[in-house]
Amino acid sequence: MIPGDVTFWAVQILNGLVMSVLLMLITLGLTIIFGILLVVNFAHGSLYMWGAYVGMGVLSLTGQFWLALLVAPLVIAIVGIGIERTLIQPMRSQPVILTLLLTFGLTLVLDETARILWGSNPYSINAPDWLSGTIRIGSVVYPIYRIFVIGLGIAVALLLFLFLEKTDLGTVIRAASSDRETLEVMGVNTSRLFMLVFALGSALTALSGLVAAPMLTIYPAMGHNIIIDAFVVLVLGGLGSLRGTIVASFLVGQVQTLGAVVMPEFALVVVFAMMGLVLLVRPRGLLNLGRLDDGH
Amino acid sequence: MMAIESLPAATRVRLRDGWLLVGVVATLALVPLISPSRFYVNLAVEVVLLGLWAASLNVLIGFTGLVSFGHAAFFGLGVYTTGLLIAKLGLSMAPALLAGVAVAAVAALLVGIVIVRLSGIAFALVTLAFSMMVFTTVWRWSKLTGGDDGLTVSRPPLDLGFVRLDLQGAAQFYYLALVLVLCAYLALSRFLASPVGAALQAVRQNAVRAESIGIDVHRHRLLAFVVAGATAGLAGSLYVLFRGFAAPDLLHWSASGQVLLMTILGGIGTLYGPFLGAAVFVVLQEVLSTYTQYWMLPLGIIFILAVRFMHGRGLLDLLRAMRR
Repeated sequence: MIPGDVTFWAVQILNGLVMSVLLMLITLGLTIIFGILLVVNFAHGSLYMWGAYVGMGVLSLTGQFWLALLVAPLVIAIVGIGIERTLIQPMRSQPVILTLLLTFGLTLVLDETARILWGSNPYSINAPDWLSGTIRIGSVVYPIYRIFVIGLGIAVALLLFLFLEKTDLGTVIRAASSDRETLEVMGVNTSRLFMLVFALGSALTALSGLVAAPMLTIYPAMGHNIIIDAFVVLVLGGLGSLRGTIVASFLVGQVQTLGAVVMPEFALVVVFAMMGLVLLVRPRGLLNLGRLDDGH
Repeated sequence: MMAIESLPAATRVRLRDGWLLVGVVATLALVPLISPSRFYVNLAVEVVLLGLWAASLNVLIGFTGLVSFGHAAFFGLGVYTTGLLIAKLGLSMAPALLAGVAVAAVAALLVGIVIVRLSGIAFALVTLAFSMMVFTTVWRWSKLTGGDDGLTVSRPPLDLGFVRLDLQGAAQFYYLALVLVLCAYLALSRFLASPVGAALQAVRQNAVRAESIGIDVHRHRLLAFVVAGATAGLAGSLYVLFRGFAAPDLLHWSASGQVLLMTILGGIGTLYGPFLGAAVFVVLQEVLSTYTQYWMLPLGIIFILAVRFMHGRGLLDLLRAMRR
């Protein structure tokens, strides 16, 4: 039975927005890495999980949620640099598909390490006091923390765009995604650029994992489902396109959330069917902005 | 553009390897006779069945260069087709096995027709999407499949008309599995040694050049995809008879990842390598899990080292390199 009142649907749409923002943060990281390095990082979901654990650690040490929001992405960015230097960079002359396999192996290592460090039992963390409670908008009562997540996600996306459009480094990154060789000829150190981009992508997914934690639980496999959803968004957005990724994450977030209400059995099947279909008929994504135009 | 090396080439089977095969099969056949308990027999069944699954994936990776991240779908279709036919319709073993292979083959054909024009990352992602569709359907359609609770499948006798075999014992089923896996292995190596196999090699090495000398690239890739899918279906059908139980996690992407792991550990481009990879996987799992619950960690590290330093050429190449 599907309830018909407006309040119910408003809450569902807000839930869809929260889901979309989480997907957007994690997939923006995947997209920027793919756009510049042409690498699909399977371990991205594990870094999402690690971000949540590291944030939890900072929170239990200091009790400051905002500090966790700063430190967790920073720590995971450093982990990302380590990964890029030891595993991704040396594979540059190899087929990219081998790098995908390598990052799959990395998920095993990162997930097991998390189990060793924090155990298999799920943890939950609370939203900080200044974000707890609910807010009333018309007839809709909604948790303040979730509104905060939506706002934070939009703010981060805007900052990312400002960074890419307005700063010198951002300009170089955009240039690298369209013509790497010319950039090298012009004397830009692309190797260091790749490292920075991988760190930035890792920080974004860590942030997503941490802000998700008060709404979900933290456990070693918490990235297993969302990484696949992020792949769906990555494909629908056209691999490598930031704008496409943002649009696709809002689409997938709503389809999943509303779909789970309307047809709980098969909402997920629809999402994966969309992914397959787009790869086949529109490999450059729904908005035709992506980089996957030659099948590689 | 910088030079991108292709995936490691498939290795030619030499006569020496023929004798090696005889030796390995003979050793495997002795397992139930020398094993003190059915534990080792079951371990051996696990190795040959997972090995066949991994070898089927190598038909695709090693001979077309296409990497599937959804090979669990075809294994799982074998598992659930055979399992459901036995559990719900009471079919006997032979038709249930054949149906499992047929469903996996038809699914591979239908999917393959539309996806073989993709390659690289796109192919990996589209196979992942397909397998997650199958996984979600099986997992959610709990009225039919039992969903998360799984499906119990009692092993029916093998009735071939002129002879009726009970096969309830671990050793008896092991011999059936061994014979069928050996048949599949020999059929696959004949297939890959044939002119079609040579054409597949040409496609893998350089699709454009292969096309220009008149090889239909898409058709050859499709053929390899169907052969790989059907073989994975056989492995899955036998696996559900072995385990007596089907669960959706056999279709999850992590299962596709595990079979990739076995294949890559054994080495891209061989049929026997994946069996070695499966043996390493199963033995590590069994041995390490008695000492530590974190057995995936060393496995993951070995896998990372194998890809990072061997570039997918596998443990066999490592052994050869060390002997030299």
